[in-house]
Amino acid sequence: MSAPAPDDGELVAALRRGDPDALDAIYDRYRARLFSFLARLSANRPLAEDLLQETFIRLAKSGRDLAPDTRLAAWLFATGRNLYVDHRRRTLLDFDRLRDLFLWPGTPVRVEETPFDLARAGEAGRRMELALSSVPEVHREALLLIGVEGLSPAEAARVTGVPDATMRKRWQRGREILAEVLKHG
Amino acid sequence: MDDDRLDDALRALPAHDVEAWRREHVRTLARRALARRALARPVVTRWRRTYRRWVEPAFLFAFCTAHLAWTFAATAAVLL
Repeated sequence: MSAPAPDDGELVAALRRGDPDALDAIYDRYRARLFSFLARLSANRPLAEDLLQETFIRLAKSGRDLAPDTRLAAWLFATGRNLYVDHRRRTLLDFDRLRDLFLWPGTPVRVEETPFDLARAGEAGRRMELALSSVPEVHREALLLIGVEGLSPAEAARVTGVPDATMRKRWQRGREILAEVLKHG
Repeated sequence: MDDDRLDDALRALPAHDVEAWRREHVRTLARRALARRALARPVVTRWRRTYRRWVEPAFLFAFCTAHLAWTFAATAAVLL
C-alpha cells in the first residue's frame, strides 16, 4: 500500500528545506490547474505555457523563503496572474494589439485547442469554453478562480489583490454575463 | 441557465495540460533553479553570526570612542 500523498503544508515545509521531490509533487499537483487557468485567462496557449514555466521557476527560486503557512494554490495562481498582467502591460502598445482594440472591439478570443483537447471536451464543454472566452477579463478571472478552480471568494480576492466585496460582485456579474452568452450564443 | 447548473458546468470543465516534452522541460528547469538557489545560499556559521552581532560592533564602538576622545583632546590643545 502506498503512503498517502502529503498535504500542501507538508509540501511547503519540504520545499523550504530545498527538497526537489516536494517541488515535483507540487508541479504534478498544480501544473494542469494552473495551465488551464492561464490558458483560459489569456486565451493564448503559447503564452500560457511560458507563464506556467516562469511561475514554477519562481516557485523553485523562492521556495526556501516561503512562509510556513503559505497556501500553495493561492500563491501559484497569484504569481501566474501577476506575470500575465505584467506581460499585458508590456505588450499593450504592440501595433497588433492596438489594431485589435480599436478595429474589432469585443471580438471573442479563444484558446487554441489541440485535437486531443477538442475530442475530450465534448460539445457542452466547447460551448462553455467559447462562452467563457467572450466574458470580459475581470469577470472571467473571477469565474475561473472561484467557479472552475474552487477557490473561495476571499482567496480569489487575495490572488487578484482586490477587496472581498469587489470579488463577490465580479463573480456574480460574471455568472450573469456567462448565462446571457450561453442563452443567446 | 440557473446559477446551480452554471456552477456545475464550470466545475465540470476539464483541465488542459501542456505537451509531454514541455512538461518535462519545465520540470527540469524548475529543478535546476532549485539546485542553483541551494548552491547560492550563503552558509551562516555560529562564529560568523556572533562576529556580525557582537565583535564587529564592539570594534567599531571602540574605534569611534577613541577617535572622539582624540578629537576632544586635539581641540582642547588648540583652545587652551
